[in-house]
Amino acid sequence: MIRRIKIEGFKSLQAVELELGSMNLFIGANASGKSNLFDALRVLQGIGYGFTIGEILDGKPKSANSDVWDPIRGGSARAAFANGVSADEIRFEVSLDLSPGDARTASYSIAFDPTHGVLTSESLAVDGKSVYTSADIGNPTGQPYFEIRCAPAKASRPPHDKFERSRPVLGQFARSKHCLDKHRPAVQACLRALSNTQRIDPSPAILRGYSSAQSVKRMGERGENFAALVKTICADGATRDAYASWLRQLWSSESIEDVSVLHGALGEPLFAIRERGKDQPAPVLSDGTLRFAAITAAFFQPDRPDILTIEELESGIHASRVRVLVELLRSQSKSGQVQVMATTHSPIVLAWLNESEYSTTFYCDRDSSSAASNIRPLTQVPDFLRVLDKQPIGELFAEGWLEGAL
Amino acid sequence: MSFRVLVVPEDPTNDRYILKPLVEALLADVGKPRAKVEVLANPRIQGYEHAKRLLLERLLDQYSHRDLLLFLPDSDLRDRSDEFAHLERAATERGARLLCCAAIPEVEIWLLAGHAESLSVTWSRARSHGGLKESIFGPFLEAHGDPRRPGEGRDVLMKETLQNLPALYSRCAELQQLRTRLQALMG
Repeated sequence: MIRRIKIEGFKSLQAVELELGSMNLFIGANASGKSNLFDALRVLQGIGYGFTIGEILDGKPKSANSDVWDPIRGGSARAAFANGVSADEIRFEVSLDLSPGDARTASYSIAFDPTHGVLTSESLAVDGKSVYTSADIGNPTGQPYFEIRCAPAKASRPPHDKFERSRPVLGQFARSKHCLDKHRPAVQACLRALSNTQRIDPSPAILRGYSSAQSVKRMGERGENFAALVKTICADGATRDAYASWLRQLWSSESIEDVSVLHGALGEPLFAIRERGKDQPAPVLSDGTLRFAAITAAFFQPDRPDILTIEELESGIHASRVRVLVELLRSQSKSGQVQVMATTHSPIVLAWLNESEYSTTFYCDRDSSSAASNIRPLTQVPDFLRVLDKQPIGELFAEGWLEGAL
Repeated sequence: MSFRVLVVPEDPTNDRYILKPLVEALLADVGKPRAKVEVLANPRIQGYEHAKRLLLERLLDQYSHRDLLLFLPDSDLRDRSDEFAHLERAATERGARLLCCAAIPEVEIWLLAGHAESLSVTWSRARSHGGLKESIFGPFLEAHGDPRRPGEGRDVLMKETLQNLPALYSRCAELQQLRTRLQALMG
């Protein structure tokens, strides 16, 4: 789980620093920076995968070890915050829990030149103790390798270790002989915490189809193998019932009995719901029903992500049922096993938040002169808490009170 | 045509998982097994005073076409009978049928009535506890609920409670009174 993230010089995020919680919502007009923040999370994911900076920004074809990696929108040419000024460095800093149940916290920072795809600085510390750092080492431009100082320094070890400069050190270090055995689990946990992000943007067209796999532990970003995932979920009676109980909340109909999985000629799974004793297969279900079923299924994946990102959360969901989504996100992220990051344009989503959640509900807008995104928790929007006494949050948002409030 | 009931809670977030099955069971018990029960979710009511204000300002007018409105808040160990009498009179004047019933001390007690033997305190202590939700219900839910389900498993626990309605009535006299009033209403 990412506790704190600081981003400098990336797309519209000139200088953004956020304290995050288990459920984080991002609101704001179109082009206010919400998607750029999600792109920043993808950069961190690419670092976790051990890709080169060029691959992270410009994409990577499928290989023996990895799937296709789509480029960050705009690629390396548009990665840096420019605003007419030549920008040559992007910097990320994160503080993160290494894994659920592990009390240790890692502080990782990286800076790179997006145009040339090379590192300019990088460091990792666990519980405040340095594991490696490039601070105080020159690493002059043009030098083909990148040097770091490992800690603790020993007389028998060289003070500097050299790594490939086009690739974040973190992944290289995990495999390197320079990584001490006592550090290796933490470094690997850090890589996993960064990479184990899942973006969910289910496409009803894909959800309506048969899955190619028989059974999976995680579905694809657009809902690939959704039915196969539901089949996995349904294999355990209690898990199936818990999953179906959320869907019944959405439908709110006594006639809906259960979820089920139908099979094609070759045994390919197809999602269905059972209504009045009859199976209603995915092709006849509404877009909103399928999307909700897929988002809910994401929380029941046996292979759960550390971070789940969902853009335009409420898309396709009837206004009177949006509250179910908020309850789903809140209850499923509460344990800290999954950190949720979602964008929304719905006043009803905001109306269903508890006051304690305003500190992790972020309002985004763009500065008209610098074009930089401002992202702040609602609790730091001037006058927000005072005005809230007089008017509900959903109404404030719907009538545009927040616009220009930063 | 089914009997249509709107339940007005003082906070629908979690109360709905207790109130909807409870009201369905009560109505079935007085001869309306196919009643259509809805717990008001929008606007999101936040607290007893908010609920009371909304009832008087607009809900009684807006939902007067429903066969019955039920206002089921927490008593918070207060005597709310005068306020309830006022609300019910206001409803009658507007052509709506409203019954009010406060849970003693909080709505969660109606769920706990089926699980009294699992509680860390005696039933009479639970009924008179000022912090039931936090001190008694919270630990109970953590031990017996299911965090994967809506309402953290309140729906399943309430279903278990409703399997023994006579015990629920005997432990919660206010529900016995509500049942009597519902029966009178059904004629």
